[in-house]
Amino acid sequence: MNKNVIAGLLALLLILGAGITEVLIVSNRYKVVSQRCNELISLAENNSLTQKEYQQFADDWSKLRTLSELLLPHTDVYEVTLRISEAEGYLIGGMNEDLVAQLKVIKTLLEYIPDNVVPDFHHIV
Amino acid sequence: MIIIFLRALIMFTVLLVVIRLMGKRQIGEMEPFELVITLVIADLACIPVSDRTVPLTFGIVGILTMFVIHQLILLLSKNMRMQNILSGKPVMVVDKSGINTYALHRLNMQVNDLLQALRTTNHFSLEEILYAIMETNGQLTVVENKQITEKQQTLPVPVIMQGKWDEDDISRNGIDKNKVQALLKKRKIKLSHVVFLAVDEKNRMTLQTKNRSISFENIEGEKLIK
Repeated sequence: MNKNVIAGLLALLLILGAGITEVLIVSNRYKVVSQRCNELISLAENNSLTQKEYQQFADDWSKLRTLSELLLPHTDVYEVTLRISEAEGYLIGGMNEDLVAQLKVIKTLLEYIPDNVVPDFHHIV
Repeated sequence: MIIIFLRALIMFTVLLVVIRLMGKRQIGEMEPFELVITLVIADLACIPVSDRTVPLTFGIVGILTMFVIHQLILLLSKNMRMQNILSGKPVMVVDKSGINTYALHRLNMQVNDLLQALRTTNHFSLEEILYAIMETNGQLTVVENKQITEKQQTLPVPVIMQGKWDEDDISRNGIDKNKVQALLKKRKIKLSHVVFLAVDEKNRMTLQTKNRSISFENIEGEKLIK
């Protein structure tokens, strides 16, 4: 096998490996953050969400955001960041109904974003 | 700004490595699939550099994919049949009978395009060549007529191409159309049957019709080019 064929195979393995890793990592990490968001929604509905708990969630997102910006369009990631900041504002202001609504939007985004990296037919086309 | 600068540097390095691995040739010698890959790669590299919202990894993966496709096609091209499908076959456009109009038609070429291609190979008259082959990379390969010992010193002026008068060249060179028509009438040739007719300053005429081989002859009498 000449070096060009080897280089081609290596490139292909790199792409496939990176793609599979991307789908697995992004899906799993977003799943964890999404579950955490679910818990926050329950707490917020019971009016028992504290700022400390929310800050923990925001920190989790901050770590995920760094990875996301490497692999995903920044516009999607920016949307979540914006919503999280807005929700924090509602929490501080005691606007519970808005907080719950915003958290539900964040949850939807956290489910929508990882779905976009799955190589489905409709995503490819 | 620094971010764009660094992204451009990274993309340039990736492009350079990939293109070196592909072994790119000059644009004029590219096979069709290589031209496609080159065009696509340029876009794949540019978009992530200039648009910060697009991760650099998108461009890099795209470029690597083009590289993989290139290697795959090279591998498939080892099979003659696949090579014909991917790159096409060389086509003989000039043979001993003259211009192969059917071949030109298949290649979407006109006689003018053929003459231009011949000039780029430093051949100005069809008399100088025996065969001409249009390669799959767009280059024209020519087999010279060794019986012609003297290189063409005058430029044959196309008068009729594919049944139509070349009005620009006729007026520029002061060629008398009536005299040319008389020549055709004498040989019982209709204008629409003429594939190519050219004359030079020494009154040497090149004539090819649809159902006859190409002929080269000296025209007696007054010069056609003034």
